[in-house]
Amino acid sequence: MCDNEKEEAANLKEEFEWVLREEVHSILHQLHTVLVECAHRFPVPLYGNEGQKQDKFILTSQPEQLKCIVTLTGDSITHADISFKVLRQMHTICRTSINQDGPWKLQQIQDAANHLQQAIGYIDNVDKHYVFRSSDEVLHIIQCLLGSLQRARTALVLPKKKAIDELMKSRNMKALSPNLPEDLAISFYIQSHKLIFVAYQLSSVHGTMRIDSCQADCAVPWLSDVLYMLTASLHMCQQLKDKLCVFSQYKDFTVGSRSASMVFN
Amino acid sequence: MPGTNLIVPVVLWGKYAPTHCISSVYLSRDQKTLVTGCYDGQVCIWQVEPETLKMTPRCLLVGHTAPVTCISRASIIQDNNFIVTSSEAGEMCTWDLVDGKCRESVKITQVHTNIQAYHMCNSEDLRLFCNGYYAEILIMDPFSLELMFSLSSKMNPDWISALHVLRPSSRKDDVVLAISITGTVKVWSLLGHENKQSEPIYENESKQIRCLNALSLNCCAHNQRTVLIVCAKYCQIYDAGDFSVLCSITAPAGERWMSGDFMATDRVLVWSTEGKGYLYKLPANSVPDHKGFHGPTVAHDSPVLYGMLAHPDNKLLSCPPAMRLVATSSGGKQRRLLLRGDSHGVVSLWSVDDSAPLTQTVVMEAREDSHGVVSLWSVDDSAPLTQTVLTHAPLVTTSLDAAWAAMAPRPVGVLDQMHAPDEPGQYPNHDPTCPQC
Repeated sequence: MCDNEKEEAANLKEEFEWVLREEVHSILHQLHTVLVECAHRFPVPLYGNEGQKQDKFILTSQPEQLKCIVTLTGDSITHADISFKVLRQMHTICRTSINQDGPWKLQQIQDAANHLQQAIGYIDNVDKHYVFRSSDEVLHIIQCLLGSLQRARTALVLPKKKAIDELMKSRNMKALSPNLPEDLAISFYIQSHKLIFVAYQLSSVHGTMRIDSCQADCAVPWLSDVLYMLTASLHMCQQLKDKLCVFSQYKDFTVGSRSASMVFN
Repeated sequence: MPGTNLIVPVVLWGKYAPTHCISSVYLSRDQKTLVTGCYDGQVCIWQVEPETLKMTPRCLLVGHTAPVTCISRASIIQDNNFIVTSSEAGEMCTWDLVDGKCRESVKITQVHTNIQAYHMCNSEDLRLFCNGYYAEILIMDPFSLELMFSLSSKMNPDWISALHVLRPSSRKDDVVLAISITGTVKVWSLLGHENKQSEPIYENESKQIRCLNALSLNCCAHNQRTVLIVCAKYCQIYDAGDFSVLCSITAPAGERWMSGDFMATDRVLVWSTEGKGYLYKLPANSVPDHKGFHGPTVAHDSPVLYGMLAHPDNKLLSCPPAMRLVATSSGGKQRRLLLRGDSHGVVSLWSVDDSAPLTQTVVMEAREDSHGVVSLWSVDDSAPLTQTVLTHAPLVTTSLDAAWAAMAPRPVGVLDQMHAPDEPGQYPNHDPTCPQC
């Protein structure tokens, strides 16, 4: 190796040590701030965020097919007045309600909150004064973080699909008062920053089952913030990962692998 | 894997061992098969000689696309060679250990973090009790990988962070003891006729305790009265009767607890993120046979560390190793082994009973003569044990790298031939498959 190459290698190693010593901790700290801020937007007790926040939403669809007034407390719909027109029987209006005794739980909110909590936990586990000794060590933590954050985001963006009979049997459906007729079902879920209400109607056409549905939605402000912060933190993780990957191609790079004479040069 | 296209994975072995950052470990009861799952989603089957515990990698199973989080046996039958693995992407596979074929695979929306295989009173074979990133406990069939039934919560429904299924000695039914991530302890009693169609099965009892994000929960098999709950910063012994804390052990500085279990009524083994096992003797107030049980914590009587299971070299790891305590039975000999698989693909095994200087026999003597115990214990306690704790090295240590190094000639990769054109005669074997097969 000629002198230039040696110098370049030495500089690269020095830079690598700086990344492990300073940069990783600083980025983890920034990430922590963003994620705690994100946790505080959740309406449920999460990471020092106490209390159950309450919000009211009105969901309607044109032309007046359905209307639904919802109170969201924490991760559950604690109150709702629901009315929708039954398809093909234009004059029948079906009414039902959700009350405090049988709240409709939006599992997606709890799932996202738990994944987020787990992500913050990965950063909390790293002591501020801990000295990272290899890029693999950091990459493992980033990988765990990326996994949790991705799952948190997915929980909100992609609602889990449920079979119609599963929905009809669900605890949420059974808590409606009055209960819906057998051929009707409703559902609440979150998709991205929106709360969505759907009414399903089952009918039999020439012996095959047919499902008609109509839906209404409304924007939930805190969900937009949460999704924005989750996306931003995923981006930060990816950037840190890319930074480390530059060095990880040099397998023999570990802290202390630089000879002492180079340090003082 | 599930899907309409047929994908045939082909594993080509090369000059160097594959990277294998282990995320889960498993050892069969007969000590013949060791299975390691890694963060890249591969599963490695190792052939173990039951007498010497010499391990040789035999097969690499490809199928999961995410870290392998759980490995479980599939049947109670000793020589039934099937295991179930599950990954962080929600994939579950049932593998035939003999030929490495995937017999069944599913992808579900619920991701498991823990699986306990358990033989329920009314079923012919094992059921998998799963918990993970969802609010229920799922009970699945290990061969069809179908959901049999699920357990729901009425009180503070939340993710279940740890569970333990057991059959109380006085009863014929099975009991599921679980704790949610927010610290609600729950108990379900199973009658054996639960099914998917039945109404939601809610917990029979629940109690809020001060314990967030538990990592493991184990009821003492010897007395079924005390419960060990391990959290990252501390682990605690609870009285199952009223779930009050009896004693607490803080994790060593710079380490976090991962899991643990009872070794005897008065002894626990807890292991940490540094890959070390710690053996503690419990204080009198945490041992049900003892007069002072459930009493207040006495200042001079706290948990005493009497043994450590650690690697002598303490090599730098890039992530906490996967560890598991297994009970084996080989050639009429019962053993308890602590397994560890680390980020370098190194597998090690400790025989816990051989390592522990004070073993069950002492406890037995103790029961006969309770005064003898007190004096025996005080002898132990008076010695400055914290300074004289014996550290035990693993019985066996091996790795994929070691297995590769031991092979002569080294396995040949397809591309390796291009790298070394000047070394003729190096490749007597052109079969690019597993060198062991």
